[in-house]
Amino acid sequence: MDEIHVLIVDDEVEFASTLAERMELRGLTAKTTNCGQDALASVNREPPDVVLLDLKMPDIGGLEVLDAIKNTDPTIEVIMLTGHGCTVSGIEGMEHGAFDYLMKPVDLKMLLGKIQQAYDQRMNGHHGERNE
Amino acid sequence: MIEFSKKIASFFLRAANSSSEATTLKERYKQFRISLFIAITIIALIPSTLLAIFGYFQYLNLAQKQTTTHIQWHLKYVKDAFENHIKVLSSQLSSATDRLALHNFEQQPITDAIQQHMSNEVNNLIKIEFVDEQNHPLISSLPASALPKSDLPYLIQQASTKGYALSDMQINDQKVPYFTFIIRPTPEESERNLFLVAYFNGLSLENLIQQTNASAMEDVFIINTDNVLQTTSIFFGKSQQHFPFTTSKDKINITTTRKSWGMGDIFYATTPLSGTPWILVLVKDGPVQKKDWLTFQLTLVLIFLACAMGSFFIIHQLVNLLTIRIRESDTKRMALLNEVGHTNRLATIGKLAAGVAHEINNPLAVIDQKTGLIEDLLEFTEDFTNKEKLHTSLQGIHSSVDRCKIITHRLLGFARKMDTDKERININTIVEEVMGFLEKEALYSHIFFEMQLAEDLPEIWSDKGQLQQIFLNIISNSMDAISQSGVITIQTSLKAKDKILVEINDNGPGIKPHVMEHIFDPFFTTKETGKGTGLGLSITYGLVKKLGGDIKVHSIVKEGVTFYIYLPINTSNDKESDHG
Repeated sequence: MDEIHVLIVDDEVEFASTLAERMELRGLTAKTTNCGQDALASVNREPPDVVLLDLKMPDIGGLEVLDAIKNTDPTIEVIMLTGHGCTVSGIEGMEHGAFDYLMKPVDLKMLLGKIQQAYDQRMNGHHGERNE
Repeated sequence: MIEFSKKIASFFLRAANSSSEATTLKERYKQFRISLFIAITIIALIPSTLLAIFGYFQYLNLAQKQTTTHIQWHLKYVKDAFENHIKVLSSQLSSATDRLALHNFEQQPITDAIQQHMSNEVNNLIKIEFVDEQNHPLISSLPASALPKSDLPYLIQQASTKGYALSDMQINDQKVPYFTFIIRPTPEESERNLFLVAYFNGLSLENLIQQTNASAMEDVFIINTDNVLQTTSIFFGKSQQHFPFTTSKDKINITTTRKSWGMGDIFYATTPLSGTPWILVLVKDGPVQKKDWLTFQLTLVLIFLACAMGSFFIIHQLVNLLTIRIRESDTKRMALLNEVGHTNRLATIGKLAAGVAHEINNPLAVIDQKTGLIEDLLEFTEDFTNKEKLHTSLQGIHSSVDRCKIITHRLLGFARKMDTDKERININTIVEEVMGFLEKEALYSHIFFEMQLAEDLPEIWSDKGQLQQIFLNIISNSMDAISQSGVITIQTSLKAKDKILVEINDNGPGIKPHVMEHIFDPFFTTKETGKGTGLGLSITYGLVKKLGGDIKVHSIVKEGVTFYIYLPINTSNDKESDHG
């Protein structure tokens, strides 16, 4: 299996880096950025397979970043991370084209499972239906 | 008038309000009731009192007028009757004299015969005598008792011009009152100028008065010009007594005078009797008869009292009703305000809790990930001393993070209606688990748990985590209340077909009534600053309500507190709807 390229976007630096490190340990390629601008730059420079996107960030809101990513490359799957403890913002994200949403703090096993599913979808190319 | 009444009302209300601040609510309502009662009573009684007073005086005035008229009319009637009598008497006397042969009157037997004859016609005739102009007695009938003749010359002179004259009442030596009637016989028939003097018993005058006075209601009597009584009076005594009031000389117009006499007032009228030296007097006491007057007064007072009592009763009932209504609406309003306040506070705590939970969630995620990373690294590392111990510690951190996760999720759920995670639960198991959590802490504080769990309780369909939270909150609250050595009793029972009751009782100091009102309010705490957030019971309340249950507290100061938690059992039918 090819390496899955994951981009973790979270303003909580420690969280992002630790999560990236743990993914690396499990054979994934993980990059981190801590704000929306950096995330978009990274996506343009080196498109990842799956983006883990925090909804709440200081510069650009998660939903805007999501829209920008989908504009750049609709095949990139985005998994939303919500800290709100409510399903509403997650569902909103999915309406904007996110693959799924997870609530923080997140269980790594579950997260990896979701990333795998998202990657599979990107590979199989089911994204078109969802995008339009 | 309206302004005035408004002023009165505001005065009473202010009086009720001003003194109220230091007093309790109950006393305030009592004061309000009393003020209102007094105010309405005064307002209601003023018109009826005025009416009674006005009626009283009006009646008195009317009665007085009527009395005055009646006295005048009656006196006139008596006067006419009396004067008529005197005329009749005079003509009787003169005709009797005329018919006798005056030539022979000097003979004693004839005089006696004349008297005999006249006594038959005229009552109370004591004796007669004939005198000449110089008052020389010519002859007198028997008995020839000596009678004072002090004013006879004057009377004879009067008789010679008028034809007849009457004397004042006098008393003879036998204590018999008498008066004299002098007649001058027709001059043509007599050779000499002589006069007939008839002595009448005083009783005849009394009889005459009695005959003419048709009504026995009034006191009618005769006085002379010197105010000396000629006949017996009810008020002023027997003949020869003195009449104390002034008399009128007016023969035509009769006026009534009012004087105070004895215990009350009397009304009297006087009129001179023409052809006599006498004055007729009529006296009546009071404008109305004493008995009638008393009856009237009594009736008036009774009616007034009855009205007042009736008013009192109705006002009392009305005021009571009004106070009760006001109190009810006050209570309702207070309850509503309390409820609104409570809801507001819950909303505020909800927002705050959500914010706090969200902020805590991020560092919690970092801790979670860091622990996970350490665990990952440990797995890829060879065995070393204490590796196992390290692993266990990490497990501990993990489970703590999980607990925190649950709490933050609950806090968020407190604010938003998060889906509860329902499952079949044995309530006893949950209670035992919670007790297990707290056992060590309890032992340390010398607090003992006593469990009275009902067996074969039906399983309930509810949220395990939330139930744990509920019991944990209440029991730790009880433990805080006891602080050192005590007993906490937990009892489960089936309350109804669809309800389970969990009672948690402690023998702590109890809750004071003023604290009791706020026990479920967010941020309300009696603990020292920094020791309690005041959220525990508030969250508990919210959780129990969310699970469809109810929570009640009963406290006895110095004996302890009991929490009653009612939980719905929920049948499998409910299960479906819960999921939907």
